[in-house]
Amino acid sequence: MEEDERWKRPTPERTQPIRNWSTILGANGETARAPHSNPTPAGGPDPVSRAVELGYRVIDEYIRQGQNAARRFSEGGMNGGALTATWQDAATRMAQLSGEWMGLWLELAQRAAGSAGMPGAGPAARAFSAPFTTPTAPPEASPLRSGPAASARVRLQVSSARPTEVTLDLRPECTATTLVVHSLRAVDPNLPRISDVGFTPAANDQPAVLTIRVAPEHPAGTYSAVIVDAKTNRPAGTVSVTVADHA
Amino acid sequence: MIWYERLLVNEADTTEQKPVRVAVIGGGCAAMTAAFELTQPHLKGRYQITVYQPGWRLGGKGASGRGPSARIEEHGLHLWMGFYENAFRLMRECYGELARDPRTCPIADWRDAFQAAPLIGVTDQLPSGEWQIWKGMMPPSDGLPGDKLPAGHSWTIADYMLRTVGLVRNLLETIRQSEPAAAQASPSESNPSSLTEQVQRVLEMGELATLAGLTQGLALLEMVIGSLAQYPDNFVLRFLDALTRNARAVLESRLAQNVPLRRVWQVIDLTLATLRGMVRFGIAADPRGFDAIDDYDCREWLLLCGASPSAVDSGWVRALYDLGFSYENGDLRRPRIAAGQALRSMLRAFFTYRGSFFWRMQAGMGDIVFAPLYEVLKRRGVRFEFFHRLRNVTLGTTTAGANGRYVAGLELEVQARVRGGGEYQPLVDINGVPCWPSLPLYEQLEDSDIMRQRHFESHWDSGGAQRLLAVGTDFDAVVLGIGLGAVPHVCRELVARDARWRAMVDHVQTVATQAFQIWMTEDMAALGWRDLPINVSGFVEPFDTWADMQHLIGAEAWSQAPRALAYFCSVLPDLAGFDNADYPQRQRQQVRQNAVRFLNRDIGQLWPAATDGAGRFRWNILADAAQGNDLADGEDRFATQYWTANVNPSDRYILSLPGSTKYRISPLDTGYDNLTVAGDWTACSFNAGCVEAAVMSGRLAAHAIAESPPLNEIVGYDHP
Repeated sequence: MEEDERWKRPTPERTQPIRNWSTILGANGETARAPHSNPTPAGGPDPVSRAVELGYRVIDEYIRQGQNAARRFSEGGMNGGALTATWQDAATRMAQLSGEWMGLWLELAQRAAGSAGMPGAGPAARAFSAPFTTPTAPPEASPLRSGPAASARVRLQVSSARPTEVTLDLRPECTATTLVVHSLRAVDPNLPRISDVGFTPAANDQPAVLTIRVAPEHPAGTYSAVIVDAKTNRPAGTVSVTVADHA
Repeated sequence: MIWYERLLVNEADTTEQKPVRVAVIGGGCAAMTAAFELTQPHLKGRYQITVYQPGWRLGGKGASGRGPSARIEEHGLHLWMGFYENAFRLMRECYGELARDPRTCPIADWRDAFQAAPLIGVTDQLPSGEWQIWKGMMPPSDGLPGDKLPAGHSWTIADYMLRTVGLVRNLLETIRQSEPAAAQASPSESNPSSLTEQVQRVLEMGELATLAGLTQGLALLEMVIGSLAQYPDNFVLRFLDALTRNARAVLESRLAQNVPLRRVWQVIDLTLATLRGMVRFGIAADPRGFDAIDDYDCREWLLLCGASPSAVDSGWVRALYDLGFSYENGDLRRPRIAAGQALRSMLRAFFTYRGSFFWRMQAGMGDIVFAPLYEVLKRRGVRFEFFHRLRNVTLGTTTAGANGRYVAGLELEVQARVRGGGEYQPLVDINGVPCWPSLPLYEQLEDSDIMRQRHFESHWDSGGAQRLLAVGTDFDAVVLGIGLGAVPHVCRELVARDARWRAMVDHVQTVATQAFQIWMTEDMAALGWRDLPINVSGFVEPFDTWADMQHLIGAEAWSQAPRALAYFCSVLPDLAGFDNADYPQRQRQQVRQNAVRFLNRDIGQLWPAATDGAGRFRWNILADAAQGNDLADGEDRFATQYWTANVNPSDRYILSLPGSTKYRISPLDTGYDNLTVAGDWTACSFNAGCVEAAVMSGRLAAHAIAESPPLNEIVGYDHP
């Protein structure tokens, strides 16, 4: 029989389970903190209660967004544009939530470090220290003790004909006015880079925009790059793009 | 809008295109699930299914038959667990569609087919050598397996951690309540801001040095995990370690003299080690979920995480290994199971069961599962080609190279032909229930006298005409639903040419199993067992697992019914000479010897009144189903009972050895564009040998062909 007459399996939308919805988007505690977040609002709820509440919201949001995206994706109703829009929306919202929550978490961790056997704690507390303890930053190193640092808010603009997942990690202290990013590279040096990528600086209360365009013929794979703060010439974070191998 | 257009396209596909011919190879759980899903009414006959099955019955490792007195003869012991969501959903749909008349069929509904079995037991050997059973009545839980899960439902590791802490707290509470004048203390939950101060206080002030302090500490831990899943690892680890160290110090002095307390402590110890491991190995944040620790053996991982050797050697852990036949090459000195899958299994089993922890089938597994599936599939137009054994799979390659590989042909051996050329009718009626017989219905076969000499299900049996099926002519797609053990024998070209398949058959191993069933003329109380029907694991080898199956006697057809029925099973070590024709008979003889020795030597530990004054089994209590040939006496009387050595490659049980799960091939990604695979040996997300994994795999296989069911409807596929 002719080859083009032979029946073939459809290409599945994915071939592996998603084991952990909370990590599928890649964002974590090091995402940017929203500029309006204030970890120690005067007269507001205490840090612990706010951390509890925000911690739940971040995790719930991860799970909800991931499941929504996968559900729509598996129903076959999500093209590349819709998918990236979903990821973009999710990443932006969660970066905001994570940023707020992270600040509170640092304060809480600092309290624990100062009072429960971590460096600086009394001898009674150290007597109970576990074999797996690792030192944490001393209180004075905390950005919360030295006042809130400037932070970045970033909007993602992704153009791709295929499902594309973007992971953006920004250090809390970076500013969105001076970020630059170079071409994204795969581990395999033979794969071409994604070079149509760049930051539009934040201005007039508008967040910085990270624009990524993936050419239709670009090979599937994961591509990464370091984001550099042009003012200090130091790394400010990473961006990673995973391009699926089917439309 | 895009979604709507896609629906329209699919609708057009189903009405305008000719059906896709799917050859389903094998009749086990996974293969039948794939057939069931591919013939769902909403697919409107898009897929035309033919099932090719060696011998006379469906079922694979779940096959059963009716022997003399219609006694149920099983491949092994089958219990369904309360978390088998996909498997129960399949059966509920199947029975619903079948709509049997309860006036004529006693097993008309799925609730007739499955009954709750909440009593479980594990065994411990005392220093005296005596075995003691620790029984536990698992409380009923909300809902029933297969009920629709709430929208947005998901399992998270944080949730499992919370429930694990809760379990430890409850166990400690049971100990504390048994002690006089225990101080009551509970953390202040109303004020979260004091949480860290409370943690600090219990660490600094030695408040964990008492049972009351420990339970308070666990309540605090519960709050820490529940409210801040992203706490610094070292913070949680320090707290966990302090809890474990103090719990050990508090309880250890009490352990030596108190066996019940020692068992509770073992669970606490294992649970705290599991919690510590989840934090230490970063599982909550690892995109691989529990797979992240699959290169470790479970016992090794627990020890790494601080569990005590005595807890790791306890009946609980042995039961985990026994229930999964987790002994490499059947060697009892090599208990091995991938830690991630073991943990996933335990957490699903204990924290997500619905209704009952275990469910018992009310007849043979063939009668309960495969006869209804057969009937429904027949109604849907599925064709069954019994007595067809797959001998070889041939491949083709297109000019697209590696991306254009496909199955070109299937070489089958036709073991027997049906008289008159019709389709074999496989079922018999027992007490109004359609059942599978233990032997073929020879009267339907040509040359029936010759056929009586054949062993159609045996790997060592051969004979019959060759039948070649060609792609494009006889089939379009293939669901390979055989056991993994058979893959190297019938997919020789595939294994030789394809590195992924070769790696899978090299690394993913199987094990032979043994089982026996005995029917007795005295009831369990007379034999010395005075509790409810139970399933016990972790017992002495060579038969570590026993289930009281007396409920099945009523489903059989004895003229004088026995009073008790017991099933036993375990792994069976391989012998040399696999290729010799007498191999299955030698193994069968070995199982018989093992069973006789076990009954004479060990059964008195479970049933003290089943033995005589010399401690040997009272063989005269065995009931003879043949009735009239009741001549055997003494140990020879065992010949009247049923036993099996499951040594056929396709019958071998799949293992989840450390470092092996990553080599499994997914039904969604076989590397061949008209082939999918189905079986509990595939990468189906729950990588263990069980009905649930097989059904999940069958559903994935259907998805690979028809994009139905959607992946998010395969319960537990997206699980940590």
